[in-house]
Amino acid sequence: MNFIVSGLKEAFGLLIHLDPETISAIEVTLKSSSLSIIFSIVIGLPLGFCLGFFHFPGRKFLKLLSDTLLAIPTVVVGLIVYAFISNRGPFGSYELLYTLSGIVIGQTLLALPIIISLSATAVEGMEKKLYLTLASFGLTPLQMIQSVVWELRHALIAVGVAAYGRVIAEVGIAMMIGGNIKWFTRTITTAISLETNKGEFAMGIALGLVLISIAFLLNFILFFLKKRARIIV
Amino acid sequence: MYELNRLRTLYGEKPVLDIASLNVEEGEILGLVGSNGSGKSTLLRHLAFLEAAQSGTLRYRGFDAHTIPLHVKREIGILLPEPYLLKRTVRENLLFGLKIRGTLEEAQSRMNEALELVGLLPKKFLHRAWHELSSGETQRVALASRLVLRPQMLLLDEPTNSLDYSGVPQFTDAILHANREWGTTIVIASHDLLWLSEIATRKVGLHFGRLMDFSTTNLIVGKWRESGDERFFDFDETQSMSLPKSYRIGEKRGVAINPRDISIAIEPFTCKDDTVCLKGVIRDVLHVTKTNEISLKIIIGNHVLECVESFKYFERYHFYPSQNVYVSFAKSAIKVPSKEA
Repeated sequence: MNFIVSGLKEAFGLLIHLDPETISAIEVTLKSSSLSIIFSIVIGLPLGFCLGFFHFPGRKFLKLLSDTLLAIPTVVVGLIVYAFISNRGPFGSYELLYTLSGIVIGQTLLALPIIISLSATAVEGMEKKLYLTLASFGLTPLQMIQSVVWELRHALIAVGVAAYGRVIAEVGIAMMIGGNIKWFTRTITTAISLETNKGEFAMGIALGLVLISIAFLLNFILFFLKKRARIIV
Repeated sequence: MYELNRLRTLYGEKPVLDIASLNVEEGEILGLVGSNGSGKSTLLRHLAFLEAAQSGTLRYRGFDAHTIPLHVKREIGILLPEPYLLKRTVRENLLFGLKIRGTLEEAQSRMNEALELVGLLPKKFLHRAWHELSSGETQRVALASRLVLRPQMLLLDEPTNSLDYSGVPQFTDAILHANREWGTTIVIASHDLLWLSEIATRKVGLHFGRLMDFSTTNLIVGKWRESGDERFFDFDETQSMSLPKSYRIGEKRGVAINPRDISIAIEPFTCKDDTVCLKGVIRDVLHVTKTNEISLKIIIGNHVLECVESFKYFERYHFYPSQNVYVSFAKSAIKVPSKEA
């Protein structure tokens, strides 16, 4: 029991004194997950909108595919990206393996199905009344898209927050693609995993606390957004 | 403004709308009367070009759904039942349509005018968010956001649904203002027959998707029992009316009787074979100022019959609610709607 208590004490020490190694892991985590969320929103939101809004052949299959990919294990994404960017892979020459860019690519791929699937669900589940009301104003197609996105803004932000939660807490991609290199690609989750293996509980606990706080903050935001949007994401 | 011809819409196998012919003239206020599920809302959505009918033609100023240019389509405003506000402030809701049309000149004065028309103080409500409004206020803002556009054609689907008693006259004034000041043609669907009688210049009945050929109507829906060569409809244990068996009466479709075909008296009628005579109690007495007539609602058993009399007749007998009265109508006045249209 003692090692847990002393680990907790040390953990607070690390956080209060802004231990550089701990701070570096937090920085890397926030940087990689924020970048990957931005990319996945830029790519995924238009795709998700189209999937939810327009009716075209093959739409149901694509929706099913993106729903299935929601549950894809992070190590599988890691494996696929590894295969493509390792020296022997087709993109090996870009030397992305064990870099922050590599992690961002992997995490973007992880977040993409979440953004696509959940935003498609949000658009699809849009109240008919809202659609009819907007349509009754005689909108051009572009005005229609803008208005729908704006009316669903709370739900769509909630989608982004949910994806962020998944990306920030993942360990498989960061470990396999990033390689857990201290000061460079060590993230909160890979650091916790390594430090615990080493028997160094203090840093693990400190980083765990940070992660839980971030998760709490994200869910706090989600709670309010859902209330606003009145939908379940 | 509108020309409708053989307009038909089915939900699955079931026809919800089947209109042989209907025109809406410029400047009129057309009332659509009918119970729930009679096809009123479907018709209005067709008129607003929000939904297409399966067959037949619908033209607005000569354009059909495929040829209507956007600027002509934008002349039409529709207020849906249970109105939906955009998740923005009242001001943004009112501005939305103006922004879409790129007509922001006089926006402020138009917004104030529209809010005042529906009985909301601009100062108090302009900056409220959508979730800070009661259902009645939501309905008013929804109408205001259509009025602000000064539409040439305004379609209103159950506009008085969420309004309390004080709200209805305000809405009436706002609708009449649009009609008189801006020349807006108006189509109102409502099951509030009394209110429609007050505001509409013409009324058409819709029953199971079909138009009725009379302006106001008593619809009597329920079971008819067979006995001998006749079918009987029971108003209560002792009072009934009968039709020859040759009439095909749908239980749900019921029969219709024009209120003007019903006579009312305080003494019993001497009843002939070809007339129906009933005894009832007056529930409502309403003066329809436009036609200077009196509309009376009479409870007979579990049913309510509306009957219309001239004001002169009323002055002679002074009908009042809770009064016992006798009504009578010719059997030939009983219309079987499925044979109409």
